[in-house]
Amino acid sequence: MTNIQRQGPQGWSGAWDQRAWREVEPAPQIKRSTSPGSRRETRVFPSIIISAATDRLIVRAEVPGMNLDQLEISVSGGILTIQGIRQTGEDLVGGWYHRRERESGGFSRAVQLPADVDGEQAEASYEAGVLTVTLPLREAVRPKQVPIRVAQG
Amino acid sequence: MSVRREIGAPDKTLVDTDIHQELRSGNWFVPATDVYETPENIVLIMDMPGVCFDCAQVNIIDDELVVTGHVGHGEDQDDYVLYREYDVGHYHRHFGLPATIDRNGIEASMADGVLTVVMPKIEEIRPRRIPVKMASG
Repeated sequence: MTNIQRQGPQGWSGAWDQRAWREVEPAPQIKRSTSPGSRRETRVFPSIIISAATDRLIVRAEVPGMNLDQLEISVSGGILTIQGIRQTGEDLVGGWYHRRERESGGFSRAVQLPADVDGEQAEASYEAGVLTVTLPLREAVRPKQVPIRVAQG
Repeated sequence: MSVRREIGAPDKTLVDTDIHQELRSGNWFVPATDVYETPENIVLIMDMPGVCFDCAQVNIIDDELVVTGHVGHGEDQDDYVLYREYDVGHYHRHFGLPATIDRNGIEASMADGVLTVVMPKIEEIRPRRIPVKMASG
């Protein structure tokens, strides 16, 4: 969490309050459940949530700050693929980073969908940095009401 | 930076919700943050996926920059979650604010779940060029 990169010219930070951009800690209001530096190295991106309604599957992923030209979604053979490139670093000329925590780079993720969907009818939207892919279920796998007949006699 | 490098998911560090009055209900997370400095400004960029553009708050309280982002409902009510890799929650983080920031010039904007706060340095400490005059005589 606190991978502060002091890349700037030496002495620049000396002109600044050294307390600046140190995170306020231990803050009276906030505690971390995990200590800094305990980040797991092997994580998947983006994290997803798969949910279901009666006629569709919904896959959500948190991908803030995406350029949509750099995001590609495809459905094939029951596998949803989300891939793209997220750029977070600024090409600073005459500037430097105090703190870099936002991940940057290319990613690709393939997810086996838990039900048969109609990939042709899939729709995707992007709002507030959250990608939502809606995948209609094929008729054959939609829930069907089973009528109960009253037994005679 | 190598393009196509596999990157990791944002670190959703949980915020302890016991003490802070405002943080009592719901999930709270520490947003991943970049801070960079240019000759004129200090710029803070925070990932807050799920926070709409008018659901983020930036306050200056006791020389701290206090940032809060609220998410709306995460899933539609009729959805049944089959598989979950992340929790939906609000965001909160404090930073100490140096005396060299012009408190009145701070501007914040929000787009695609990313909050950007631009903080201008006070005029006195910005780099400046001093013109060299030709000495007479």
